[in-house]
Amino acid sequence: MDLDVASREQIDTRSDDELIASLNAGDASAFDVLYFRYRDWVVNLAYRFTGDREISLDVLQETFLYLARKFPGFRLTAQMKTFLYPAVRNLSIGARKKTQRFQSSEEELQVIENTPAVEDAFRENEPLSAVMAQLSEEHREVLLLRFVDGLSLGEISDALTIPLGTVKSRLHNALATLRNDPGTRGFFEQ
Amino acid sequence: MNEHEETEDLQAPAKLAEAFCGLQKERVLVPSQIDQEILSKAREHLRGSKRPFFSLPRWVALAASVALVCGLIYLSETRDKTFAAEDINRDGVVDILDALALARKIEAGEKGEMDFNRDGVIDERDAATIAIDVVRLGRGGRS
Repeated sequence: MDLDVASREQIDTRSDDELIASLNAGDASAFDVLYFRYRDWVVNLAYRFTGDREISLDVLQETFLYLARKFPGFRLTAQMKTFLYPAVRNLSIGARKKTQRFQSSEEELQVIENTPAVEDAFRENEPLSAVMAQLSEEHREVLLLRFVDGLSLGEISDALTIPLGTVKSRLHNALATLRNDPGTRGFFEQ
Repeated sequence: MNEHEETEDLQAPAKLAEAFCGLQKERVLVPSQIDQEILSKAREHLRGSKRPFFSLPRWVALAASVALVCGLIYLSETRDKTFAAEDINRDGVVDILDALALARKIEAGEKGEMDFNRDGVIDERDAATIAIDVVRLGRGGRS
């Protein structure tokens, strides 16, 4: 794919719903537009889960092939990011598990299965990284979805399939932890 | 208050939001070769999975297939089969049940080629003819 094609796909102004309708009608070129629209977000989200560049690229491929296999007949009931998020998450955890299968004990595998490798993907020796690492995965996930991925509270609720009230509660608690931690308290001071 | 509305305690200060974005060690760049590979595989799938002009849910197609097979079996068993005139109930056997079936038909006033004793009248004696014939000859085989 040359740069011209990539640029052309990126400036396509059709909405996700319109592109999906085109794909369902047999216009395969609409897939390229969706791909370039979400490629960077998907691969960096995968990196956040895996902490490994090569695995992230594999997850990128698996995620978009998973999407392609949904056609024809795919219907988007929420936002594209909320549809892609669980796929990226599960594929990332699966990929990590696969690569570490021969290096880890069963107990460690269980941890890998349930926990994204956020620590591997984040900069070390930074107060924010340290506090983030102390948060539970559930709280960290909501924080990142809100402030790194820019999802609205409703979209987070859809992506994680949890009630909106739970999203708010987790976000509130996570921010409170950051506000009260000496390492990150400074971010909240004027 | 709108349920999607964020209260102040759910917002991050600008400094924190900025720090979140700088948290990731590196941004992963996707080589164009990977782009090509992914899009080529996706196109291959999309080309091969064009929706047919008319498609049915799988269970409907399965039910239709089963019905078709049953229909064919039924037709193959019955199409060329001929029954004896006396085999009134068309079960492949001439027996006392046919005499009873004929008696009912006569009673109900049905007409047809049922003059088995050839006396020119269709009545209970035709049913008796079948009954006597079955008993006398010990019949009961397939018609």
